Amino acid sequence: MLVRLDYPQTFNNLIENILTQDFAPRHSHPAIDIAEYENESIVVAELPGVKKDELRITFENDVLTVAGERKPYEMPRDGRVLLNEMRLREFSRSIEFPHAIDGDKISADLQNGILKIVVPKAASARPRTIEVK
Amino acid sequence: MSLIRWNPSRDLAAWSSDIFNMQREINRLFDTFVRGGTQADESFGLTYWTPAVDIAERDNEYVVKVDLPGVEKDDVKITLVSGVLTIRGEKKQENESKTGSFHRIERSYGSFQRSFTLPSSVRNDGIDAVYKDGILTITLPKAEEAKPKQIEVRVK
Repeated sequence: MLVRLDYPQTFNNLIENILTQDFAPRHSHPAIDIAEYENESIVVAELPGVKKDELRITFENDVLTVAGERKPYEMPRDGRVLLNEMRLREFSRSIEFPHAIDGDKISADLQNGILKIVVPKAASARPRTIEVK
Repeated sequence: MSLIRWNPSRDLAAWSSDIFNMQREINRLFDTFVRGGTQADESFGLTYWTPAVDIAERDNEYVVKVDLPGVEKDDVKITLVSGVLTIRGEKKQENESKTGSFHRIERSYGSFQRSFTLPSSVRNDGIDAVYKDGILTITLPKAEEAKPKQIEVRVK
């Protein structure tokens, strides 16, 4: 028998049992960090098990959107599920930045389940030092 | 004892703050669930989180999968002591990300630990752990006596 040691999981189970009926959520939001630097912003999203070609990153009307699908683990024929907590399936997150973006220079990198998007600021949004004459 | 005029709005205020506290608590638990079992509880001054785990049993082995995006391979320790599988480790915040000004921090950092009692004995020598795409997959082959056996019925 599997024994759980953590209390919040028990509560999760309760909700899960209710939600995994017909109206189970198929949409989820991966956790993201957004940090702003002088010349760029960096968005880091946790996407364990997501492959490069299962991701769509778009930049439209100043909104950056990360969307995709996490494929569930394919259970072998003789397999039985003892515990299932990984819930992320389809996901989508949109971010609007408070300053102008150089949309052509956005770059993204996926490694170890971490998606890192570098979003450079437009020249007009970068800090400038004004020399005193 | 003097009579105090009953003030319904005061009772209502106390009552509604209770409700709001409860709602906040439920929201927190709900968030934990929606984010796949991740939790950083800072109210006790600790940072810990709970990675989501899937466990499957096959005829010959157990397959344990743990969501560990962004965790370094060397920061994870796996132990098996008298049938209890423990996965513990730490997710560190990258140094570079400390210098920026943050608009949003949703990822959890810090230590994690999960323990599971396996339903039957496993072969200690055949355990394998692979880290790929942010998922740790541990394969534990069952001991010979734990594998399913088919008993044939002889007809006399």
